[in-house]
Amino acid sequence: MSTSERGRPAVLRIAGARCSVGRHRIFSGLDLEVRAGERVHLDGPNGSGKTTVLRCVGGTMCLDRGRIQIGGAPAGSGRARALTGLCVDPEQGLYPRLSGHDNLLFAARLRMPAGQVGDAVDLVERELAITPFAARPAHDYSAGMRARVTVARALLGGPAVLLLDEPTRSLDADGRVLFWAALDRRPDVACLIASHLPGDRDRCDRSLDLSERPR
Amino acid sequence: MTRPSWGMSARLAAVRGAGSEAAAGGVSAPGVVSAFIRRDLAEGRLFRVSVVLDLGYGLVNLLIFWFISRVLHHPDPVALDGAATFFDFVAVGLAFMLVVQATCTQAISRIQEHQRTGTLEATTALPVSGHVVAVGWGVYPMLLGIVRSALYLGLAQMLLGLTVGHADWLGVTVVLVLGAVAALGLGIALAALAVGYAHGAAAGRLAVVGVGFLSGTYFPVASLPVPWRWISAALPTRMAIDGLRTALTGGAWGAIALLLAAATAVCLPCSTWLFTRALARSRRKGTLARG
Repeated sequence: MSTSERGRPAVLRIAGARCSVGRHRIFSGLDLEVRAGERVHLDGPNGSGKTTVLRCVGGTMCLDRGRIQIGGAPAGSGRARALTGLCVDPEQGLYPRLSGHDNLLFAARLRMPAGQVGDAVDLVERELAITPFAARPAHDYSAGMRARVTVARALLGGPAVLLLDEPTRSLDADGRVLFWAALDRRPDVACLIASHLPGDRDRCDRSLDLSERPR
Repeated sequence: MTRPSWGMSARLAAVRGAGSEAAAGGVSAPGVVSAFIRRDLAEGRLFRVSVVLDLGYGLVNLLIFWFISRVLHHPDPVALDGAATFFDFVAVGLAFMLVVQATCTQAISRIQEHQRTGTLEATTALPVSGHVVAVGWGVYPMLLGIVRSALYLGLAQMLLGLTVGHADWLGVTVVLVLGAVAALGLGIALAALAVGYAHGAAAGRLAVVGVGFLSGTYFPVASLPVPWRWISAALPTRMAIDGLRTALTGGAWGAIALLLAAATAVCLPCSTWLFTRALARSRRKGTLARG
């Protein structure tokens, strides 16, 4: 964490978090604070709960103990979701019959006033070089093209917290450069990035290994 | 490859405010519903062939009952709720069941597909109320159902001789729209079942068949045993079909429309509440995405 980041407020707070699915404990005793502008890398083997942590912060899964707050609002609340950009399983989560552009338009229309939708979509399309294939249906995309669109969707609306699940695993070298450049252009955004790639860990301020957490 | 132009910092700053606006109040409910309709229209553009095939299916269905009506000569129009022939009776029920199928069966299939593709999870991660998402998800199939229903009534009249000489078209329109909104409520409730429970989709499809059976689609409700008639009387779909038959034969449809509006005003909010509960259950179970 840089000196300037230390003085910033924590925009994401996780305290005593535990999550189970049925009788299976995914993680427990998780405490984490992420400040504005800070990038935290989530590490751990398959099944250690990285994606589940992101889902709980993004409000698409619930904790059974503890709490998560985003900008002071409980995870999953309307305000918390407005402050959060979520990208889990980056090669999925698109309407296959819609073009990439229409997928982005739909998400933008649910996030922001109508007058800002066009500019916001245009911006993220250009940032991640989606424009050349934006008009094609998403079912024609390669995994990397889909990943660009789902990452772009998470960037829409200027979220304060970005939750990214292995965002670069399908991206080619150019795509990775564009992805990190897009994050660099958002120095105030707190990022939680789950990844197995050492290159991703190196781009983060610190790493949290979930395999070391109690179950 | 295309490189972005890097004079975008100012534009980024301009759109960055959107997140805080969403946090402050979010997009209005009509804005959200409109976004869903535009999404579905964009998807629909690619599926004109299936719409044509669907029309063909509906026509064949009408034709089957037209032939059946040729061998059924019911002498008592009272038993057929004032319809002159069995075809006149059943065509109205079939046309309205298209709305029910569109709002219910399609709602179940689509919500399951969106669970599999992860798009349901992606949508529920956005700052939108579950109540509005529920309506948004169902409104396009409902509108399509209204259009299909009107189209089939028109085709039944032009090609198969459906009697509409005394029809009150204002009544037909009002009852059809109210009935479609009531069916939307039913579709949302069944979609909630599909979202919340692993076998909810199968149960939902069974419920649609039951609704068709009890609403007097294929035969007069008076033929049902008494306890079933009570259930039938409480179904908004039954009210809608009765209202359509009444309006198409020039009868007084106002009271039925009022009853239908009251039933819809109760059922729709209950359905969206059920949908939000189903989403909450899926969040607890980790099943918003079933891929």
